[in-house]
Amino acid sequence: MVGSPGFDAWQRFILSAKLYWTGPMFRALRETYRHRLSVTPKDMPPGPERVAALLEGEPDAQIFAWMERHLQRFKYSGRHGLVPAHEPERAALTAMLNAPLPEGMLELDPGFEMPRYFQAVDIHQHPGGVWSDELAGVVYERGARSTTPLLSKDLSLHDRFTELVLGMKRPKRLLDMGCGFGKSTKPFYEACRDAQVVGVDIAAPCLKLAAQEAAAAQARNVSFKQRSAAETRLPDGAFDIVTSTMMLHEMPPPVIEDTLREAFRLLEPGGVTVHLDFLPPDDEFLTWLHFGHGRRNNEPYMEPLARMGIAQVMERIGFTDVAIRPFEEMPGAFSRRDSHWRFPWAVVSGTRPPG
Amino acid sequence: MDGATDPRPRPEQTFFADPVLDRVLGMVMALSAEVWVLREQQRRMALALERAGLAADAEPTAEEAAAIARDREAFTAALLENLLGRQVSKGAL
Repeated sequence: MVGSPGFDAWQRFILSAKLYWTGPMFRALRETYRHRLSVTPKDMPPGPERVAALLEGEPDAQIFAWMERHLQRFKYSGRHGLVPAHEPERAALTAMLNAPLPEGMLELDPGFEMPRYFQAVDIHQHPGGVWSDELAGVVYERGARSTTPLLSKDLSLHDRFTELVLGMKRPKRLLDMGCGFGKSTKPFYEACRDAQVVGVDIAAPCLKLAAQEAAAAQARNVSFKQRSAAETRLPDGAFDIVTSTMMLHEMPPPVIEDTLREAFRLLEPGGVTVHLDFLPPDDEFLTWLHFGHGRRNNEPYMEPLARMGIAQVMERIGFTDVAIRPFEEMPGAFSRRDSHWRFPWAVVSGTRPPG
Repeated sequence: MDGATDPRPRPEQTFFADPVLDRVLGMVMALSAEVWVLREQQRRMALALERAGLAADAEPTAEEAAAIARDREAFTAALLENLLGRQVSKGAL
Protein backbone atom coordinates (compact mmCIF):
# COMPACT_ATOMS: atom_id res chain seq x y z
CA MET A 1 0.00 0.00 0.00
CA VAL A 2 1.44 3.33 -1.09
CA GLY A 3 1.43 6.39 1.12
CA SER A 4 1.43 7.74 4.63
CA PRO A 5 -1.62 7.10 6.84
CA GLY A 6 -3.13 10.36 5.68
CA PHE A 7 -2.20 9.99 2.01
CA ASP A 8 -5.51 8.65 0.76
CA ALA A 9 -7.55 11.13 2.77
CA TRP A 10 -5.37 14.01 1.57
CA GLN A 11 -5.64 12.98 -2.06
CA ARG A 12 -9.41 12.58 -1.75
CA PHE A 13 -9.64 16.08 -0.33
CA ILE A 14 -7.56 17.51 -3.17
CA LEU A 15 -9.81 15.74 -5.66
CA SER A 16 -12.91 17.13 -3.95
CA ALA A 17 -11.39 20.59 -4.09
CA LYS A 18 -10.63 20.09 -7.79
CA LEU A 19 -14.26 19.11 -8.35
CA TYR A 20 -15.38 22.30 -6.64
CA TRP A 21 -12.96 24.27 -8.81
CA THR A 22 -14.29 22.43 -11.89
CA GLY A 23 -17.91 23.33 -11.08
CA PRO A 24 -18.82 26.29 -8.85
CA MET A 25 -15.55 28.17 -9.34
CA PHE A 26 -15.67 27.73 -13.11
CA ARG A 27 -19.27 28.98 -13.20
CA ALA A 28 -18.44 31.97 -11.00
CA LEU A 29 -15.60 32.92 -13.29
CA ARG A 30 -17.71 32.48 -16.41
CA GLU A 31 -20.43 34.66 -14.90
CA THR A 32 -17.90 37.36 -14.08
CA TYR A 33 -16.52 37.19 -17.61
CA ARG A 34 -20.00 37.54 -19.13
CA HIS A 35 -20.79 40.48 -16.92
CA ARG A 36 -17.53 42.21 -17.81
CA LEU A 37 -18.15 41.51 -21.48
CA SER A 38 -21.62 43.01 -21.30
CA VAL A 39 -20.21 46.34 -20.12
CA THR A 40 -17.25 46.40 -22.51
CA PRO A 41 -17.06 48.63 -25.58
CA LYS A 42 -17.97 46.59 -28.66
CA ASP A 43 -14.88 47.65 -30.59
CA MET A 44 -12.53 45.52 -28.48
CA PRO A 45 -11.39 42.68 -30.77
CA PRO A 46 -12.48 39.24 -29.53
CA GLY A 47 -9.94 36.65 -28.47
CA PRO A 48 -8.13 35.35 -25.43
CA GLU A 49 -6.27 38.66 -25.12
CA ARG A 50 -9.62 40.43 -24.65
CA VAL A 51 -10.62 37.96 -21.93
CA ALA A 52 -7.30 38.54 -20.19
CA ALA A 53 -7.91 42.30 -20.30
CA LEU A 54 -11.50 41.95 -19.08
CA LEU A 55 -10.56 39.74 -16.16
CA GLU A 56 -7.36 41.54 -15.18
CA GLY A 57 -7.38 41.92 -11.39
CA GLU A 58 -10.71 40.09 -10.96
CA PRO A 59 -10.65 38.02 -7.74
CA ASP A 60 -12.59 35.18 -9.41
CA ALA A 61 -9.90 34.91 -12.06
CA GLN A 62 -7.06 35.13 -9.56
CA ILE A 63 -8.55 32.49 -7.31
CA PHE A 64 -9.41 30.20 -10.20
CA ALA A 65 -5.83 30.38 -11.45
CA TRP A 66 -4.35 29.92 -8.00
CA MET A 67 -6.49 26.84 -7.35
CA GLU A 68 -5.59 25.32 -10.69
CA ARG A 69 -1.90 25.78 -10.07
CA HIS A 70 -1.74 24.77 -6.45
CA LEU A 71 -4.22 21.91 -6.21
CA GLN A 72 -2.01 20.17 -8.76
CA ARG A 73 1.04 21.01 -6.66
CA PHE A 74 -0.65 19.56 -3.58
CA LYS A 75 -1.41 16.41 -5.53
CA TYR A 76 2.21 15.71 -6.39
CA SER A 77 4.30 17.41 -3.73
CA GLY A 78 4.39 18.05 -0.01
CA ARG A 79 3.95 15.68 2.88
CA HIS A 80 1.10 13.68 1.35
CA GLY A 81 1.95 14.24 -2.31
CA LEU A 82 2.20 11.44 -4.85
CA VAL A 83 5.97 11.65 -5.16
CA PRO A 84 6.92 11.30 -1.48
CA ALA A 85 4.10 8.80 -0.95
CA HIS A 86 5.81 6.27 -3.23
CA GLU A 87 9.23 6.62 -1.61
CA PRO A 88 8.78 4.02 1.17
CA GLU A 89 7.81 1.45 -1.46
CA ARG A 90 10.74 2.22 -3.75
CA ALA A 91 12.43 -1.16 -3.42
CA ALA A 92 9.26 -3.17 -4.04
CA LEU A 93 8.11 -0.97 -6.91
CA THR A 94 11.55 -1.04 -8.53
CA ALA A 95 11.53 -4.83 -8.35
CA MET A 96 8.07 -4.90 -9.91
CA LEU A 97 9.16 -2.60 -12.74
CA ASN A 98 12.22 -4.71 -13.48
CA ALA A 99 10.59 -8.13 -13.27
CA PRO A 100 11.35 -10.42 -16.22
CA LEU A 101 9.22 -9.85 -19.31
CA PRO A 102 8.38 -11.95 -22.35
CA GLU A 103 11.10 -11.77 -25.01
CA GLY A 104 10.88 -8.63 -27.11
CA MET A 105 8.16 -6.92 -25.11
CA LEU A 106 10.36 -4.04 -23.97
CA GLU A 107 13.31 -2.40 -25.66
CA LEU A 108 15.03 0.38 -23.73
CA ASP A 109 17.82 2.58 -25.03
CA PRO A 110 20.33 3.26 -22.22
CA GLY A 111 22.01 5.89 -24.38
CA PHE A 112 18.80 7.77 -25.14
CA GLU A 113 19.30 11.50 -24.86
CA MET A 114 16.24 13.19 -23.39
CA PRO A 115 15.21 16.20 -25.52
CA ARG A 116 16.08 19.46 -23.85
CA TYR A 117 12.54 20.78 -24.22
CA PHE A 118 11.37 17.87 -22.10
CA GLN A 119 14.02 18.51 -19.47
CA ALA A 120 13.31 22.23 -19.23
CA VAL A 121 10.08 21.94 -17.21
CA ASP A 122 8.61 19.31 -14.94
CA ILE A 123 5.52 18.55 -16.94
CA HIS A 124 2.17 18.41 -15.06
CA GLN A 125 4.07 19.80 -12.03
CA HIS A 126 5.37 16.28 -11.50
CA PRO A 127 8.72 16.90 -9.73
CA GLY A 128 11.43 15.47 -11.95
CA GLY A 129 8.96 14.99 -14.80
CA VAL A 130 7.80 11.59 -16.02
CA TRP A 131 11.26 10.43 -17.02
CA SER A 132 14.03 11.19 -14.50
CA ASP A 133 13.19 8.82 -11.68
CA GLU A 134 12.70 5.04 -11.75
CA LEU A 135 9.25 5.42 -10.14
CA ALA A 136 8.09 8.30 -12.34
CA GLY A 137 5.82 6.06 -14.43
CA VAL A 138 4.14 4.59 -11.37
CA VAL A 139 3.62 8.06 -9.90
CA TYR A 140 2.30 9.33 -13.21
CA GLU A 141 -0.13 6.44 -13.48
CA ARG A 142 -1.48 7.18 -10.02
CA GLY A 143 -1.67 10.90 -10.78
CA ALA A 144 -3.42 10.39 -14.11
CA ARG A 145 -6.38 8.84 -12.33
CA SER A 146 -7.42 12.29 -11.14
CA THR A 147 -6.13 14.52 -13.94
CA THR A 148 -9.64 15.23 -15.12
CA PRO A 149 -11.72 15.24 -11.94
CA LEU A 150 -15.03 14.56 -13.63
CA LEU A 151 -13.56 11.53 -15.35
CA SER A 152 -12.49 9.83 -12.17
CA LYS A 153 -15.73 7.90 -11.98
CA ASP A 154 -15.80 7.18 -15.69
CA LEU A 155 -12.59 5.83 -17.12
CA SER A 156 -13.88 5.24 -20.61
CA LEU A 157 -11.81 7.97 -22.30
CA HIS A 158 -9.24 5.63 -23.87
CA ASP A 159 -11.86 3.05 -24.78
CA ARG A 160 -13.90 5.74 -26.51
CA PHE A 161 -10.87 6.90 -28.49
CA THR A 162 -10.00 3.31 -29.43
CA GLU A 163 -13.55 2.74 -30.62
CA LEU A 164 -13.37 5.89 -32.75
CA VAL A 165 -10.06 4.85 -34.34
CA LEU A 166 -11.20 1.29 -35.00
CA GLY A 167 -14.33 2.73 -36.61
CA MET A 168 -12.06 4.43 -39.15
CA LYS A 169 -9.90 1.43 -39.89
CA ARG A 170 -9.20 -2.01 -38.49
CA PRO A 171 -5.41 -2.30 -38.06
CA LYS A 172 -2.98 -5.07 -38.82
CA ARG A 173 -0.07 -3.05 -37.44
CA LEU A 174 -0.66 -0.07 -35.16
CA LEU A 175 1.85 2.35 -33.68
CA ASP A 176 0.96 4.29 -30.53
CA MET A 177 3.28 7.28 -30.32
CA GLY A 178 4.02 8.73 -26.89
CA CYS A 179 2.39 5.71 -25.29
CA GLY A 180 3.49 6.65 -21.76
CA PHE A 181 2.64 3.93 -19.27
CA GLY A 182 0.47 2.19 -21.82
CA LYS A 183 -2.97 3.40 -20.85
CA SER A 184 -3.70 4.45 -24.43
CA THR A 185 -2.07 1.33 -25.91
CA LYS A 186 -3.91 -1.24 -23.85
CA PRO A 187 -7.38 -0.83 -25.39
CA PHE A 188 -5.80 -1.32 -28.83
CA TYR A 189 -3.86 -4.49 -28.06
CA GLU A 190 -6.84 -5.88 -26.18
CA ALA A 191 -9.41 -5.02 -28.85
CA CYS A 192 -7.20 -6.15 -31.76
CA ARG A 193 -5.62 -9.41 -30.68
CA ASP A 194 -4.82 -10.26 -34.30
CA ALA A 195 -2.94 -6.98 -34.85
CA GLN A 196 0.63 -6.14 -33.91
CA VAL A 197 0.75 -3.08 -31.68
CA VAL A 198 3.90 -1.07 -30.93
CA GLY A 199 4.17 1.68 -28.34
CA VAL A 200 7.02 4.18 -28.42
CA ASP A 201 7.86 6.75 -25.79
CA ILE A 202 10.90 8.65 -24.59
CA ALA A 203 10.38 7.96 -20.87
CA ALA A 204 11.86 4.64 -19.74
CA PRO A 205 10.09 4.59 -16.35
CA CYS A 206 6.73 4.80 -18.14
CA LEU A 207 7.64 2.16 -20.70
CA LYS A 208 8.66 -0.26 -17.97
CA LEU A 209 5.25 0.06 -16.36
CA ALA A 210 3.50 -0.27 -19.73
CA ALA A 211 5.36 -3.51 -20.44
CA GLN A 212 4.67 -4.95 -17.00
CA GLU A 213 0.96 -4.15 -17.39
CA ALA A 214 0.91 -5.82 -20.79
CA ALA A 215 2.69 -8.88 -19.43
CA ALA A 216 0.21 -9.05 -16.56
CA ALA A 217 -2.60 -8.88 -19.11
CA GLN A 218 -0.90 -11.75 -20.97
CA ALA A 219 -0.78 -9.71 -24.13
CA ARG A 220 1.38 -11.26 -26.86
CA ASN A 221 0.71 -8.75 -29.62
CA VAL A 222 2.37 -5.65 -28.18
CA SER A 223 5.89 -4.36 -27.72
CA PHE A 224 7.25 -1.14 -26.26
CA LYS A 225 10.32 0.75 -27.43
CA GLN A 226 12.18 3.76 -26.08
CA ARG A 227 12.19 5.95 -29.16
CA SER A 228 11.34 9.52 -30.01
CA ALA A 229 8.08 9.76 -31.92
CA ALA A 230 9.81 12.24 -34.19
CA GLU A 231 12.52 9.72 -35.06
CA THR A 232 11.37 6.17 -34.41
CA ARG A 233 13.94 4.38 -36.60
CA LEU A 234 11.13 2.00 -37.59
CA PRO A 235 10.78 0.94 -41.26
CA ASP A 236 8.93 2.96 -43.91
CA GLY A 237 5.29 1.97 -44.34
CA ALA A 238 5.40 -0.39 -41.37
CA PHE A 239 1.96 0.53 -40.00
CA ASP A 240 -1.58 1.02 -41.19
CA ILE A 241 -2.56 3.17 -38.19
CA VAL A 242 -0.42 5.62 -36.21
CA THR A 243 -1.99 7.17 -33.12
CA SER A 244 -1.07 9.34 -30.20
CA THR A 245 -2.98 10.34 -27.10
CA MET A 246 -2.18 13.56 -25.27
CA MET A 247 1.31 13.70 -26.77
CA LEU A 248 1.36 16.53 -29.31
CA HIS A 249 0.76 19.28 -26.74
CA GLU A 250 3.89 18.19 -24.90
CA MET A 251 6.10 19.08 -27.89
CA PRO A 252 7.21 22.38 -29.40
CA PRO A 253 5.78 22.96 -32.90
CA PRO A 254 8.95 21.99 -34.84
CA VAL A 255 8.96 18.61 -33.06
CA ILE A 256 5.22 18.22 -33.68
CA GLU A 257 5.86 18.78 -37.37
CA ASP A 258 8.73 16.27 -37.39
CA THR A 259 6.48 13.78 -35.59
CA LEU A 260 3.65 14.16 -38.10
CA ARG A 261 6.18 13.76 -40.91
CA GLU A 262 7.42 10.61 -39.20
CA ALA A 263 3.85 9.31 -38.95
CA PHE A 264 3.46 9.89 -42.68
CA ARG A 265 6.68 7.96 -43.40
CA LEU A 266 5.65 5.08 -41.15
CA LEU A 267 2.20 4.67 -42.71
CA GLU A 268 1.59 2.40 -45.65
CA PRO A 269 -0.38 4.05 -48.48
CA GLY A 270 -3.98 4.35 -47.35
CA GLY A 271 -2.96 4.28 -43.70
CA VAL A 272 -4.41 6.74 -41.21
CA THR A 273 -2.97 8.79 -38.41
CA VAL A 274 -5.22 9.80 -35.51
CA HIS A 275 -4.18 12.00 -32.61
CA LEU A 276 -6.22 12.72 -29.51
CA ASP A 277 -5.16 16.03 -28.03
CA PHE A 278 -6.35 19.45 -26.94
CA LEU A 279 -7.39 22.26 -29.26
CA PRO A 280 -9.57 25.05 -27.90
CA PRO A 281 -12.97 25.61 -29.51
CA ASP A 282 -14.01 28.88 -31.12
CA ASP A 283 -14.75 30.45 -27.75
CA GLU A 284 -12.50 33.20 -26.42
CA PHE A 285 -13.20 32.43 -22.77
CA LEU A 286 -12.43 28.72 -23.09
CA THR A 287 -9.37 29.48 -25.21
CA TRP A 288 -8.08 31.91 -22.59
CA LEU A 289 -8.64 29.29 -19.89
CA HIS A 290 -6.88 26.63 -21.94
CA PHE A 291 -3.81 28.76 -22.60
CA GLY A 292 -3.69 29.63 -18.91
CA HIS A 293 -3.93 25.97 -18.02
CA GLY A 294 -0.85 25.28 -20.12
CA ARG A 295 1.13 27.87 -18.20
CA ARG A 296 -0.19 26.88 -14.79
CA ASN A 297 0.24 23.15 -15.25
CA ASN A 298 3.75 23.32 -16.73
CA GLU A 299 2.59 22.38 -20.22
CA PRO A 300 4.10 25.26 -22.19
CA TYR A 301 3.35 23.91 -25.66
CA MET A 302 -0.42 23.79 -25.35
CA GLU A 303 -0.78 27.30 -26.70
CA PRO A 304 1.79 26.88 -29.51
CA LEU A 305 0.00 23.69 -30.60
CA ALA A 306 -3.30 25.55 -30.75
CA ARG A 307 -1.75 28.38 -32.76
CA MET A 308 0.41 26.42 -35.21
CA GLY A 309 -2.34 25.48 -37.69
CA ILE A 310 -1.88 21.75 -37.40
CA ALA A 311 -4.32 20.92 -40.21
CA GLN A 312 -2.31 23.02 -42.66
CA VAL A 313 0.90 21.40 -41.46
CA MET A 314 -0.55 17.94 -42.08
CA GLU A 315 -1.73 18.90 -45.56
CA ARG A 316 1.70 20.31 -46.34
CA ILE A 317 3.26 16.99 -45.31
CA GLY A 318 0.95 15.19 -47.73
CA PHE A 319 -1.92 13.90 -45.63
CA THR A 320 -5.37 13.99 -47.19
CA ASP A 321 -8.80 13.94 -45.54
CA VAL A 322 -7.34 16.01 -42.73
CA ALA A 323 -9.97 16.60 -40.08
CA ILE A 324 -10.20 18.11 -36.62
CA ARG A 325 -13.19 17.03 -34.59
CA PRO A 326 -14.18 17.74 -31.00
CA PHE A 327 -14.02 14.62 -28.85
CA GLU A 328 -16.54 13.83 -26.14
CA GLU A 329 -14.39 12.23 -23.47
CA MET A 330 -17.33 10.92 -21.48
CA PRO A 331 -21.05 10.61 -22.10
CA GLY A 332 -22.73 13.99 -21.75
CA ALA A 333 -19.49 15.99 -21.63
CA PHE A 334 -20.53 18.34 -24.44
CA SER A 335 -23.74 19.28 -22.68
CA ARG A 336 -21.75 20.40 -19.63
CA ARG A 337 -19.48 22.72 -21.57
CA ASP A 338 -21.09 25.76 -20.02
CA SER A 339 -21.28 24.51 -16.48
CA HIS A 340 -18.01 22.68 -15.86
CA TRP A 341 -14.38 23.13 -16.75
CA ARG A 342 -13.13 20.48 -19.13
CA PHE A 343 -10.21 19.93 -21.44
CA PRO A 344 -10.94 20.91 -25.05
CA TRP A 345 -10.47 17.40 -26.36
CA ALA A 346 -10.02 17.13 -30.11
CA VAL A 347 -9.20 14.39 -32.60
CA VAL A 348 -6.84 15.28 -35.42
CA SER A 349 -6.70 12.78 -38.26
CA GLY A 350 -5.37 12.36 -41.76
CA THR A 351 -4.76 9.73 -44.41
CA ARG A 352 -1.63 8.89 -46.32
CA PRO A 353 -2.97 8.84 -49.87
CA PRO A 354 -3.20 5.39 -51.43
CA GLY A 355 -0.76 4.53 -54.19
CA MET B 1 23.05 27.25 -19.34
CA ASP B 2 19.42 26.94 -20.44
CA GLY B 3 16.06 25.99 -18.99
CA ALA B 4 17.01 22.33 -18.96
CA THR B 5 20.15 22.72 -16.89
CA ASP B 6 19.66 25.89 -14.84
CA PRO B 7 19.78 24.66 -11.21
CA ARG B 8 18.61 27.91 -9.61
CA PRO B 9 15.37 27.76 -7.57
CA ARG B 10 12.48 28.98 -9.68
CA PRO B 11 10.07 31.44 -8.09
CA GLU B 12 6.51 30.13 -7.82
CA GLN B 13 3.88 31.67 -10.09
CA THR B 14 1.77 34.38 -8.47
CA PHE B 15 -1.83 35.33 -9.19
CA PHE B 16 -2.71 38.04 -6.69
CA ALA B 17 -1.67 41.68 -6.59
CA ASP B 18 0.11 40.95 -3.33
CA PRO B 19 2.22 37.78 -3.64
CA VAL B 20 1.96 37.30 0.10
CA LEU B 21 -1.65 36.30 -0.51
CA ASP B 22 -0.47 33.54 -2.84
CA ARG B 23 1.73 32.13 -0.13
CA VAL B 24 -0.75 32.48 2.70
CA LEU B 25 -3.52 30.86 0.69
CA GLY B 26 -1.16 27.93 0.16
CA MET B 27 -0.80 27.56 3.89
CA VAL B 28 -4.57 27.81 4.41
CA MET B 29 -5.21 25.09 1.85
CA ALA B 30 -2.51 22.84 3.31
CA LEU B 31 -4.03 23.28 6.76
CA SER B 32 -7.49 22.60 5.39
CA ALA B 33 -6.35 19.38 3.80
CA GLU B 34 -4.70 18.33 7.06
CA VAL B 35 -7.96 19.05 8.93
CA TRP B 36 -9.78 16.79 6.48
CA VAL B 37 -7.17 14.07 6.99
CA LEU B 38 -7.81 14.24 10.73
CA ARG B 39 -11.59 14.26 10.29
CA GLU B 40 -11.49 11.20 8.09
CA GLN B 41 -9.15 9.33 10.40
CA GLN B 42 -11.29 10.22 13.38
CA ARG B 43 -14.38 8.94 11.65
CA ARG B 44 -12.70 5.70 10.65
CA MET B 45 -11.51 5.22 14.19
CA ALA B 46 -15.03 5.70 15.45
CA LEU B 47 -16.24 3.08 13.00
CA ALA B 48 -13.59 0.66 14.18
CA LEU B 49 -14.50 1.20 17.81
CA GLU B 50 -18.14 0.67 17.02
CA ARG B 51 -17.21 -2.69 15.68
CA ALA B 52 -16.14 -3.78 19.11
CA GLY B 53 -12.40 -3.70 18.93
CA LEU B 54 -11.94 -4.70 15.31
CA ALA B 55 -9.57 -1.79 14.89
CA ALA B 56 -7.51 -3.53 12.20
CA ASP B 57 -10.60 -3.80 10.03
CA ALA B 58 -11.46 -0.12 9.88
CA GLU B 59 -12.27 -0.07 6.17
CA PRO B 60 -15.72 1.49 5.88
CA THR B 61 -18.54 -0.36 4.18
CA ALA B 62 -19.66 0.96 0.82
CA GLU B 63 -22.49 2.82 2.53
CA GLU B 64 -20.15 4.31 5.15
CA ALA B 65 -17.64 5.25 2.47
CA ALA B 66 -20.38 7.06 0.59
CA ALA B 67 -21.31 8.95 3.75
CA ILE B 68 -17.66 9.95 4.25
CA ALA B 69 -17.50 11.09 0.64
CA ARG B 70 -20.62 13.23 1.14
CA ASP B 71 -19.08 14.69 4.27
CA ARG B 72 -15.88 15.46 2.36
CA GLU B 73 -17.75 17.19 -0.46
CA ALA B 74 -19.66 19.29 2.08
CA PHE B 75 -16.47 20.09 3.98
CA THR B 76 -14.74 21.14 0.78
CA ALA B 77 -17.66 23.24 -0.39
CA ALA B 78 -17.99 24.98 2.97
CA LEU B 79 -14.30 25.80 2.85
CA LEU B 80 -14.05 26.92 -0.75
CA GLU B 81 -17.30 28.81 -1.08
CA ASN B 82 -15.58 31.55 0.91
CA LEU B 83 -13.38 32.14 -2.11
CA LEU B 84 -16.32 32.86 -4.39
CA GLY B 85 -17.08 36.15 -2.62
CA ARG B 86 -20.84 35.83 -3.06
CA GLN B 87 -23.42 36.93 -0.49
CA VAL B 88 -25.25 34.05 1.12
CA SER B 89 -28.12 36.28 2.24
CA LYS B 90 -29.31 39.18 0.17
CA GLY B 91 -27.70 42.41 1.26
CA ALA B 92 -26.86 45.63 -0.48
CA LEU B 93 -25.91 45.30 -4.15
